[in-house]
Amino acid sequence: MSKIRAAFFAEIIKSKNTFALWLTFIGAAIIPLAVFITYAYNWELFIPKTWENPWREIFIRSFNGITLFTPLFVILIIGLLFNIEHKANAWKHIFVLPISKSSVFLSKYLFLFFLLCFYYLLFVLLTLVNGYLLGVFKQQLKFLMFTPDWNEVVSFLAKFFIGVLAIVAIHFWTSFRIKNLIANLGIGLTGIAFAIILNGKGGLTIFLPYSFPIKMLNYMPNSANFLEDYHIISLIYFILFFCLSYWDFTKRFKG
Amino acid sequence: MKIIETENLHFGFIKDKSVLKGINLKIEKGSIYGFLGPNGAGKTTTIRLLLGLLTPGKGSIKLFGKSVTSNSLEIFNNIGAMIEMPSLYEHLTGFDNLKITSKIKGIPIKRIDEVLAIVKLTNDAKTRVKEYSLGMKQRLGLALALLSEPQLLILDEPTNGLDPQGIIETRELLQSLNEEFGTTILVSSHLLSEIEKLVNHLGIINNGELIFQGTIQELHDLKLGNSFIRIETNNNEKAVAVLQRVYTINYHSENGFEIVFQNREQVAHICKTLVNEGLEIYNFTITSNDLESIFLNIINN
Repeated sequence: MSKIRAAFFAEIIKSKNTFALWLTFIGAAIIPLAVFITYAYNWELFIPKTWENPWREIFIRSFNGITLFTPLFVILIIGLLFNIEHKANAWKHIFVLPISKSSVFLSKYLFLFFLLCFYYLLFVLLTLVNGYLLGVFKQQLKFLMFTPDWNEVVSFLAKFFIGVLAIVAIHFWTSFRIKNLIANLGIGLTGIAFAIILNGKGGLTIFLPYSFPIKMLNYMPNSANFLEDYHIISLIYFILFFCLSYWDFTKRFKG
Repeated sequence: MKIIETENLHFGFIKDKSVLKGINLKIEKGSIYGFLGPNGAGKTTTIRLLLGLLTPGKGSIKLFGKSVTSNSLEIFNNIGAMIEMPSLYEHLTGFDNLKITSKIKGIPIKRIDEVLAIVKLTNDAKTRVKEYSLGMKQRLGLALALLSEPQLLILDEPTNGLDPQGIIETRELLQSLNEEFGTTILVSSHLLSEIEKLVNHLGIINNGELIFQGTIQELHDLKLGNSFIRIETNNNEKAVAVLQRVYTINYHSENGFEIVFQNREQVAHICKTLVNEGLEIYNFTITSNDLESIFLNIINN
C-alpha cells in the first residue's frame, strides 16, 4: 500500500506542466462557461415560471454538455497520461524500480480516478458558481430564491461515473498498449461517432460503451431502479477490461 | 562472490532466431566490468534481460546470488540502472525527475542534492530537462542511477553523446564510486577506447555470443601475442637465420623482416642476439596491436 501511495505521489509530480492537468481544469470549466454565456445573452428565455426551480434547468443543460464532452475528455486524458511515459521512454526505468507492476498499474488507475473526480467536482462547483452569479446579476432568474436538488445532482454524477467506466477501462488498456496518442484518439472518436450516429438509442447501442454517456442526455431520475441496464453493462465492461489489462500489464507488458 | 551470473542465456525476439546464444556472464563483486561489442551484438538485450525487462528463452540469471524473476523487487533496491538513453520526463526539472524516483524508492530529499552535486548539475536542478544538452541528460540519467547508493550499477553506453571532458568526468566518477564505496559496475560500450581506462574486467560479445571474458591483463596478453618487431640490418639473411631458431618470422624481404614476440624480455633478447652476431641494426620498430585492433580481430574472427 505504501508503494501505491508513493507511486501516486510520483504521478502527481509527473503531471506538473502537462496538458493533461490543464485539460482537467479546462474540460471542467468549458461546459459551465458555455452555459453561462448562453444564460447571460438570452437570460429572458430562462426566466422560470412561478415556483419553478431554475437550478434544475441549468443543471440539466450543464449535464447535457458534460454528457457529450466527457467521453472525449476521458479518451484524451488517459492517452495523455500514458503518453508521459511513452514520450520519456520511461517504462524501462519504472520496471527496474523496487515497485511491483501491480502497484504501478493501480497507482495509475488511482491517479486517473483522482483527476476524473476532480473534473466532476470542479464542474459541479462551477455550475453552482454560474447559478449564483446569474442570480446576483439577473434576479429575475430566481437562482437566489432556490437551492439545487442535491439528490438529483449526486445521482446523476454517480450514474454518469458508472456509465463512463467502460470507456475508461477500454482506453486505459489501449493507451498503454498503443503508444501513438493519435491512434488512441482515432479509436475513441470512431466509437463516439458511432454512438452519435445511433443517437445512443436502440439496437445494439446497449453494448456500445461510447453510447452509454449519451443515454444520459436530458437526465431524468428513474425512481424504480437506480441503475439502468446499460449501467450494469458498463460495470461488466469495466470489470472485464480492468482484469484483462491488469493481467496484460503485469504479466506481458514490457514497455 | 559473483554479483551477476548468467548461465547459458538464450533470447530471441522472433522464434528460431536467437539474438543471444548461450551467454555466460560472470561479474565479481567490486569489479568494473566492461561489456563490449559492436552495435547490434546483443549488449542492450543482455542488459534488459539482467534487469527483468525481457524474459530469457533459455538459461538463468542471478543477481546478488538470487534469481531475477522471483526476487526482483528486493534485488532492484540495490541496483541503479541506465539503459540506452536515460528515461527522463522532459517537461519536468532535473530535480523533479529525481524526486519521482526518490519517492518510489523511499529516499530522503536531501540525497537528491547530493547526487546533483556529484554529477555537477546543482545549478541546473530547477531547469526543465527539455532545455538540457545531451551531455547534461546523460549526467542526470547517471544521477538517477546513483540515487539509492546502489551496490550494483548497470550502465548501457553511459558516455553516449558526451564530449571528451564529459567522458573523462564520467570515468573518474565511476572509478571513485568503485574505489570509495565498492560499487560493482557493469558498463557497456561499442568503443574499447572509451572504457579500457575504466574497467578491470571485460566481456566481448559479438553476434549474440560472448567471445572473450577476462581481465584487462588477459586481453593485454592476447595483445602481446599479436605483436611483432620490424627489423632491418646490414645482413638480413644472417639475422633471420639466427633468430628463426627461436622465434617466428612473419615476413622476410631484402629490406628487412618481421619477427613475432611474446613479452618484453624477448624484445631485449632479440636485440642482444643481433648485436652479439655483429650485425648492424638500421631499423628496430616494435609494432604491437593496440587493444582496439585486438578487439576488432576478436570480433572479426
